Amino acid sequence: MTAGTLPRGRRRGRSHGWRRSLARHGASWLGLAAVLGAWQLTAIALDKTVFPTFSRSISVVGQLLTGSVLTGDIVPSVIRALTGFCISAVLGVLVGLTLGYVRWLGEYCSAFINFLRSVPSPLLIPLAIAFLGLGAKMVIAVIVSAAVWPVIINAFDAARRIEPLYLDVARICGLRGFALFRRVLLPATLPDIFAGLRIALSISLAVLVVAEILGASTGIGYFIQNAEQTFAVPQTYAGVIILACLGWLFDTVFLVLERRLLAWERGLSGGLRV
Amino acid sequence: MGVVIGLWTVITGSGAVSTDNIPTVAAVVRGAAGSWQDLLSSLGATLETWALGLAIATVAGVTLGLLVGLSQWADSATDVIVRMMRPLPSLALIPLAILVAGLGVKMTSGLVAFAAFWPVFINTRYAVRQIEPRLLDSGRAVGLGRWGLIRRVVIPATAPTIATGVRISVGLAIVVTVSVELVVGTGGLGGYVLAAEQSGATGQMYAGVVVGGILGWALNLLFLAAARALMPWQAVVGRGLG
Amino acid sequence: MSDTCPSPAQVTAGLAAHGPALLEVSGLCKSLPIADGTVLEVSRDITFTLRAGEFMSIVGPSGAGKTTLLRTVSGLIQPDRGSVMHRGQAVRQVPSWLSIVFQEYNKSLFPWLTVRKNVMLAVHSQPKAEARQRMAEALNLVGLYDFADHYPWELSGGMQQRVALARAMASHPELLMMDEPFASVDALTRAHLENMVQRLWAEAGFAALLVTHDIGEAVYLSDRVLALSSRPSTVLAEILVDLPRPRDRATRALPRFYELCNQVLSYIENPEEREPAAAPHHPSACSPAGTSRPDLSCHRKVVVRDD
Repeated sequence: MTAGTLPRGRRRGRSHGWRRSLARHGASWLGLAAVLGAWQLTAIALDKTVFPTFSRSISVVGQLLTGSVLTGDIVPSVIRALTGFCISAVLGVLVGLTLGYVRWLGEYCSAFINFLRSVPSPLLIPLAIAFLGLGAKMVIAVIVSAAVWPVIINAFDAARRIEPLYLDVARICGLRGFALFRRVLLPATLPDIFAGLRIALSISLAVLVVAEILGASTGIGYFIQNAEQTFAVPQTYAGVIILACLGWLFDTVFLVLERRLLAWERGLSGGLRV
Repeated sequence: MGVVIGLWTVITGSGAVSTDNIPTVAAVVRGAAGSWQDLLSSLGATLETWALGLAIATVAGVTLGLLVGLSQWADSATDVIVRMMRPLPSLALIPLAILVAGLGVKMTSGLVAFAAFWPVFINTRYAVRQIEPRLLDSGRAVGLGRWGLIRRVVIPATAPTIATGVRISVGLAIVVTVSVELVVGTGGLGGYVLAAEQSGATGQMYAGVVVGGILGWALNLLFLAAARALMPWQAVVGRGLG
Repeated sequence: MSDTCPSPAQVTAGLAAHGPALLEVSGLCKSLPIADGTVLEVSRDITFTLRAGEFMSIVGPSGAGKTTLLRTVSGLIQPDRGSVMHRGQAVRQVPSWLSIVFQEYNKSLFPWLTVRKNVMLAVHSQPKAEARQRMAEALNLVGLYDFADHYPWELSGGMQQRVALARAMASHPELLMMDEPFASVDALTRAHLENMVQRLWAEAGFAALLVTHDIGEAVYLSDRVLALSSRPSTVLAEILVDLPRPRDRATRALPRFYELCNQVLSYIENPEEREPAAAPHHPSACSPAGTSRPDLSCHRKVVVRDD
């Protein structure tokens, strides 16, 4: 038996790929730099108070990050967003997988769920305020009400489309109940669920901002709104920049985690990632 | 659905929950009926802003997406920008937009357009990159020139993915429109619900929310119907629950 | 081990040497709903018995419903009519002493588990130490112990199927079912795998049920070959393979081998010509109108070499 492995998942020609991807990355950072440069120049040219230069905004960002704003606003916001996200994740996965796996239940609930998720989530904010007053609890509730949907939908889809052969093999090996869930259902649907989670993460951040604008007295959203209303222009821009960076940070960390957990999936799909 | 309405009536009827917070179905209907002109005009305002913003975003998104997708260096150059803009909550830009462009329809539609642009642009760009090269080869073999190729191969091949992007934008645009209305406090469905909340008219508030839900749901259905009509060769399946 | 064939007496004696009946299928009928709402009759009146230690193949044209038959017989799905007995008891679910190897190895091995963990899945109910032992044994049997920590997609098709085989072996089955296991594998690997299966079967002594469209493979490996008609499939004939064991490349050159293959082929190709006595329009127990069981003995022939 001398047959060796035919490595399918390995990349060939490592040295070439490395250089090419470096070039591609370089080009894209150049693109970003070009946009920022354009910002700087237009700002200088227009010379309007409502359009500060990029450099000015960045310096304010530096001020904010080292000041009390960090702990007073940024950290609470991050905590709220992540809490809302985690709750949505757990809830979404449980509900979605159950509805997808138990056919009749899914069919029964699908019309209702379809309606619920069509409600534009910001519309629920006054509702949440009426229920929970102002503050963190309200914000988290609104986040969950918005971020849970992509998770449910993706989990539902994935559970529906699970490879029937996996289920057959599981039955043959005698896997039932919770063992079936943990060892077959969950891993098989995890890639799709992660795609939904990624969307949920960005929704969490977006809804966080609006919820805070309308109903909180601390937090990034509140900060940005406050700055806008007091015409503290550079601060407004700075706040938005911080938010953008947070969004980017969350997304990147998430992708890294995903790559770790789903290392096996890349081999299957050939690493098709957007 | 009927089950839900039934449950709702029972719960509120039994007095288990204070009717201040969760109104009865009857109260909601009464609230809607009582202010139906307001409700309708708010709906109209929201739809107007939404449609304008979405139209601009779709045209810009598809055009730029095609251009960028067809050119290798433009694609690489925009990579980081796309990765940065993707997770950026456009809702965070609301105060910024107010600052820069004041209040008014122009500002709202502008922001909606900006937010809705990205999903369409990203999807178009991605779709162009993913075109099966053999399709292009077949097109060239039949003698299609640059324009012919774009019109008869690129666009139909990328249409489904673009459609998915537009679908996301449809929902996103509504969310942004309503958010701006809520923050600014006037006009549209957002303004309606906010006013109802502030004056404690919970029936009206819920009515607004329900209308919002119906709106979102109806827009989605319309979109799917349009997609099916325009792309009969493709099974445009809604995400499972759809 | 020359080409002298055993006498009929020896053959019948050999048959009886196999153990008690593990699998008894009687009058099995199965229909499947298809896309446009109608119902497709897949199997009609299937009857056969498999004894412990026997190697039996089921051959038939594609679309004959062989896979459905295998799934019904194993307990994954229930038949519409007729009975399936495992060890004399009616079947409710797949018994623990039954293992199955499927054709699509890339969909039957879990991609999120390493080879090691995939094989251990079959013995997950055993205590850890015992499970690990069995896993090691199974992987050694198929010669893939060195690849235990690889993922299935890192291996070639033939190797993945060997992992599937190892997983089936790990639970020490008494009955191994295989659904066209080598159809998706290239010809060279196929010959290699066939011999591996033969070796495993000879050493471990389980009963084997192989579903295949490859007549040569069926004759090469089995004690008996069941020839299935096209859909709705019935058992056309049961052919005894009296080739000496162990079998190898030389066996395939024997004239007897060709004879047997041709016999099977002729049954499958011309079902009406071969069985003038058996009326194909005989009301079957499966059609709603028919209530009586037809006499099945004239539908089957146990073909023994006429000496």
